Amino acid sequence: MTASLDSAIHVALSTIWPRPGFAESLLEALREASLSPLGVVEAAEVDGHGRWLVAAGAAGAAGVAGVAVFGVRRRLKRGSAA
Amino acid sequence: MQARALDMDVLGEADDKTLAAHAPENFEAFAELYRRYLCPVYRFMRSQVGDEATAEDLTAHVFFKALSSASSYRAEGSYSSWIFRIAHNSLSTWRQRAGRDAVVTEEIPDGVDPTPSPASQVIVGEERGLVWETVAALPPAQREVVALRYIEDFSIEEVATITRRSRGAVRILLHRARTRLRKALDGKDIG
Repeated sequence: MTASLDSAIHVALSTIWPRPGFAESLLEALREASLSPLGVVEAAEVDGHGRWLVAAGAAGAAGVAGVAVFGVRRRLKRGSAA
Repeated sequence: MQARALDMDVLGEADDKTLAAHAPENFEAFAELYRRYLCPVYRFMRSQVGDEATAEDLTAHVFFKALSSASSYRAEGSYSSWIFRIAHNSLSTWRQRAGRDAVVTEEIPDGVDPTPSPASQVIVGEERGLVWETVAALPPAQREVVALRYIEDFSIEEVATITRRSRGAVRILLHRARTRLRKALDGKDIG
């Protein structure tokens, strides 16, 4: 039972995969964010449904120079309101 | 500079620590680490929260944090422990913000394994769903140590480091989780 229990848990948890396209879109967002020095990364709760926005703030000489918001981008791609 | 000397053709063969050493200055080194850890981090998050969108956002947060903190990685520990430490922190913050201690995952992920192993072919459909629901119903602390132990095969010591618990506390949480799982699955034709 021990081995089969361990195996069952391992398999159940290891057969979860991101939806198609997620890996590519996140990598693209990370690549864009990497083009500027990253100063701040904040995760903020922005609505009542517990959605998180991930903001990669690019800190330049004048402060925060730009923001890449992956959460908004993802939802825009899905066609829902940001 | 060592970072500039990394041969782009051998990124896939480089070990985690080599890639992590180059990651602050070489995005392709970071991208290789991302490819290695995206699925484990996503699986971890998906096993802890109730929906795919939240798991994606938390996963994204982990990698943005890993990117911005790449220079803070110290090679004393494994990169996997380091990034799962970020994942643990992100999850803890998310739970604290809205008191989500009792999140139960009702929706069984429908991800498809592109390369199913013989074992995963045996435990499919209803059986996988039963295990998933049972894990999802565990208290958050138990669910987290189970996920770390079984998704990434972390040792007790590594789980303790990631979650900032004592090894004894991790052992107790795992024991209680496995007892619950065994009881819930007892009599079911698992494995």
